[in-house]
Amino acid sequence: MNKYIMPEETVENKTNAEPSFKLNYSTAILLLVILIPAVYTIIVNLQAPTPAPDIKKDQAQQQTQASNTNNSANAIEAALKKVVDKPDYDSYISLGLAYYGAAKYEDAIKAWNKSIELNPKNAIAYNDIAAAYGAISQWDEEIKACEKALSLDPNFTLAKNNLNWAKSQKNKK
Amino acid sequence: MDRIKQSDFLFPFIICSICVWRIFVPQLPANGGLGWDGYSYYQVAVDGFHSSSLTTLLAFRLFPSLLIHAILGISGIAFTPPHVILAFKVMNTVLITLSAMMVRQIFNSYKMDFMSQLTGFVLIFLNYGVLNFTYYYPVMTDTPAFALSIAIFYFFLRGDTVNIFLAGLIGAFTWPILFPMAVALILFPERSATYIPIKKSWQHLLSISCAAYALIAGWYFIFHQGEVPDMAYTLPLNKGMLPVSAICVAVLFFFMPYILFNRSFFDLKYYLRQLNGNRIFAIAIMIMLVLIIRNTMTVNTDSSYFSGYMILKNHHYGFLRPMITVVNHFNYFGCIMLLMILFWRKLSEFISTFGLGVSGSIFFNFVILAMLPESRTLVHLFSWLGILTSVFLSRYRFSSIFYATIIAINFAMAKLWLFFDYDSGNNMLPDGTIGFPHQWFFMHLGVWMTEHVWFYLLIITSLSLLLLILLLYNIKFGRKALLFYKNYEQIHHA
Repeated sequence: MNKYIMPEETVENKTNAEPSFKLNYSTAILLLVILIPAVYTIIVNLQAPTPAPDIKKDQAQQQTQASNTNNSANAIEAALKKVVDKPDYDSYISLGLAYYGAAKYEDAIKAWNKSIELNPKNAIAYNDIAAAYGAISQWDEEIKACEKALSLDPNFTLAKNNLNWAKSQKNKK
Repeated sequence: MDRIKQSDFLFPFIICSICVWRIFVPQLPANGGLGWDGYSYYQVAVDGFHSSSLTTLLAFRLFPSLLIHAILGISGIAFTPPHVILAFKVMNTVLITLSAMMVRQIFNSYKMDFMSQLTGFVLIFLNYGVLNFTYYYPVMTDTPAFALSIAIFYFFLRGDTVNIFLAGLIGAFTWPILFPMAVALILFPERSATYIPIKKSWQHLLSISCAAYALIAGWYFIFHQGEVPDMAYTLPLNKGMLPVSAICVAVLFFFMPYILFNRSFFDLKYYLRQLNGNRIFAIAIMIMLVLIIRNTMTVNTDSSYFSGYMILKNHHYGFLRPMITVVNHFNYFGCIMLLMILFWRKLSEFISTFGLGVSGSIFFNFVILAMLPESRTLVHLFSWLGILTSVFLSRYRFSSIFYATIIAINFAMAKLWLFFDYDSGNNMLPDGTIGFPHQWFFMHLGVWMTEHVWFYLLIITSLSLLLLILLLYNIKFGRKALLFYKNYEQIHHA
C-alpha cells in the first residue's frame, strides 16, 4: 500500500480529483503574461507595416554609443594613468584593452606590443593582438599572432579559436 | 512569534529582500554586463519578435526577452543595455518571489513544520544557481525556467490543467524542455500512484541497462566520435582518470531508474484510468500552438546546440573527471545533491508516488541532461527535486544539528558572501572575458572549471557528504562490530 500520501496532503485537498479546467487568479496572471508581448508585437507590427526608422531604437543606439564612448574614454584615461604609475606588462595589457574597447585597434596593438617587450613569453598579449587584427580584418596578421600565441602556449583554446576564425575569414575572401 | 512563523509571506519576504540586495552587487563584466548568451537575449529584447539575431535555439528561448521588449516599449524606456539588464534583474526578482510564494503554499498543504519548511526554502533557494548566478549573469532565461517549473509543479499538485497548459506554453518558448514536462503532467494527472516495487530481477535489469547505456554512450562519443570539449577554457578529458570517471558515471546511471521501480507504471490499468479525451485534446492544441508560433518566426541561423546529436553528446562531459557532475551540481544547487545521494532509495519511492508524469520527466532529464556538468541546464529539474526532497525530509525528524549543517553548507556554497573583484581585471581579454584563473567560483561552472577548482570542490563535496552521513548515523565502535544506527525517525507513518 502507499505509505506516503494521505488524502489531505496535496494542495487544496484535491488528491487525485479529476483535473480542473476551471479558471482562477493564476490563469488570469498567466494569460496577462502571454498577452502583453503578444498584443504589443501585433500592435507594433500593424503600426509599422513598412520598414520605417525606429526612433526609439535609434535613440537607444545613440545612448548606448554615447555611454560606450564615455566608458571607453574613462577606461583609456584610467589605463594611461596606470601605465604612468606602474609601466609593467599588466598595465600595458589593460591599456590595450581600453583602446580595444574604444575601437582604437592600432593603438591597442601598440600597447600590447609594448607589453610583449616587457614579457615576451606571455601568450595572452599575442592573442589580444590577433583579436585586434581580426577587428580590422587583417587576417594574415591575425593568423601570425595566433600562431605565435600557440607556439608559446599550445593549449591556449582562445587562440586556437581565433586562428580557425581568421583562417575561415581569409578563405571567404 | 508564532504568527510570524505561520505567515505565508515570511519566507517570500526574506527571499525577495535578498534578491533586491543582489540587484546591486557586482556582476559579470563581459559585453557590458550582458555576457555571451545574454547578448543574444538583449538583441531580442531590443528588436522583438522579428529580431534578425534569432537562431533555431533562440526561437525557443525568446519569451522573457519579448516580455521585457513589450514592457520597455509600453513604458517608453529606451532599450539600452543598462535598462535591459535592470529589467531582467527586476523580472528575476519578481519570479523568484512568486516561486517562493508557491513553494510556501505547497509546504503548507503538506503540513510541514517550521524547521522542515526553513530547510526546504534553504535547499530550493539558498544556492548559487538561484540567488547568486541570477544576478551575476542576469540576462538569461534560467530564472524564468526555474519559476515556470515550480509553477507547473504547483499547478499539477492543484490539478489545474488550464494553468499547466498556459505555463507549458510559455515554457516552450522560454526553456524548451519544460514543454514535454508540462505535457507529461497533463497526460498523467494522478498524484498519488500506489507504490508497489517491481520484482528485484526487473530492478536489476533496468539498473544494469542504464549503466550499460552510460558506458556504451561514453565510449561511442569519446572513442568512436572523438568528441572533446571544444569550447574556450573547457577542462580537457583526463584519460588517466577515465576508468574512475567511467565507474562513477555507471554508478550514477545504475541508480537513476529507481524512480521508475513502481509497479503501477507497468500496469495497463494505470494508463487506461488516466486516458481522457479532454486532456489529449488540450495537448494537441498545445502542440499546434507551439508549431504555429514557431512558424511565424523568421530564423536566420541554425543553432548547432539545438540538434539531437549535440544534446546527446553532452554525455561525454560526465567523463572529464571523476564525479564531475555531482561536484558541479553540489556547487551549483547545494545540499539537494547530497541529500539525494543519501536518501535516493526512499526518495525515489516517494517521488514515484507522484505518478509517471513526474517520475518520467525526472528520469528523462536525468538520462539526457544530468551528465552535463553545466548545472544551470538543470535549473528546471532541481526546483522539482528541491520541493520533493523537502517534502520527503519533512516526514522524518532529524537532530537540530543536521538541519543547521544543511543550512550552513548551503550558505557557504551559495557564495553570497563572495563578491566579484573588478580590480583584478588585468587579465581581461578582448571579448570582455576575465581570464579564468581570476574568475574563481563565479564562472567556474561545469566544463569551464579549472583543474584546481574541480579538485577543491571534489574535496568540499566529499567532506560535506561525510559530515551529513556522520550526522545521520551513530557510528559505534566497541565490543560489537561497526554498526550504523539510524539517527532519525519517521514521524508521519509507521
